[in-house]
Amino acid sequence: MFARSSAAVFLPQWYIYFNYRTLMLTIRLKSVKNIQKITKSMKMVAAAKYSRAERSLKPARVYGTGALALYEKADIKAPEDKNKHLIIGVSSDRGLCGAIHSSVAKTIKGEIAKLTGAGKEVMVVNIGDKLRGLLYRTHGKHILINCKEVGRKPPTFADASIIATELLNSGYEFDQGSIIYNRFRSVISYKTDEKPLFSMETVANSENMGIYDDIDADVLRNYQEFALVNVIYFGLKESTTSEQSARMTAMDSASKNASEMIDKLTLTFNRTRQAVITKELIEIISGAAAL
Amino acid sequence: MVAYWRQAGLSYIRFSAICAGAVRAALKPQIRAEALKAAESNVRITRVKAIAAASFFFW
Repeated sequence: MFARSSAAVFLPQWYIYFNYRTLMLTIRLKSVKNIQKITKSMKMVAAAKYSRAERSLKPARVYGTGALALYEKADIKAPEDKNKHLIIGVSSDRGLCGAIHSSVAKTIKGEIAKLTGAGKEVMVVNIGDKLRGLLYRTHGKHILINCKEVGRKPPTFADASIIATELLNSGYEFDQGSIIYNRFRSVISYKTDEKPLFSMETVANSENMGIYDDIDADVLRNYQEFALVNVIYFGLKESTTSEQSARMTAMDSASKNASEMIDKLTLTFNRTRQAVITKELIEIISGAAAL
Repeated sequence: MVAYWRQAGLSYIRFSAICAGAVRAALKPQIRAEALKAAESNVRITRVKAIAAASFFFW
């Protein structure tokens, strides 16, 4: 009778009649339970990182809004005939966070298509390995700089300075550009947003610059360099906060799905177990009746 | 009028980073530890031209 059972790899708490079908179900049940434990713990970790990121986002927002305030107040617009564009895409190295990386990549691909259609030259700076993976196959020749090791620790102003210095030293004289990042709205929502960047010539030649006092080329150059770092820092901070909140919600729904699966599998397992016992009983009884 | 550090070849980013380092060194020890932690960086940068040339070689 027991010769039919497959080799038992483990013994559960209750003694059941081993059968191939129940064995497969127990293996599946155990693996889904492990996955649920993992996703639950990932959610806790993401929640802790999210609260820390959100706390450091509030003072960091001022850097970005302050740097961009000049562009908005002076209403600086790039002239239409300028040809060299730059796109900075902000994401991170780690996955399992919902649509964070894919939404940024989609926006970048749309922008590249639009600009190359209009005959302009575009180059992309990838912050984060995931973005590089999404872009290098189809738009590999547009990539200028790749940045790795983003997302493991919270981003700092020093990170943004390194990226900005690398960009300025790369020799790509862009006329205007934009930074594409995920703006943090609330715990459950973020939005992929775009903020403009301008080159020194664009700002210097803009018509409203005459309003400001004591602006000469050197002051403007300092301001442009520092504003670049500030905008990159702002994009990094907002992106990490959105990413942690998205990872929290993604892991939460994964744990919920896993527990639903566990309930369904447990029901099936109990039914199968009872069916196996009933079959054995019937065989015993009919065997006994045949004597 | 060009600033002295600009003439020496520094960018404003590098200049402000050096100033910030000086401010951090002047902080009291308890606050300095936090400030130093907030100032470390761990980004790695790669320029793409070298990689493109290398992969072209391997193909």
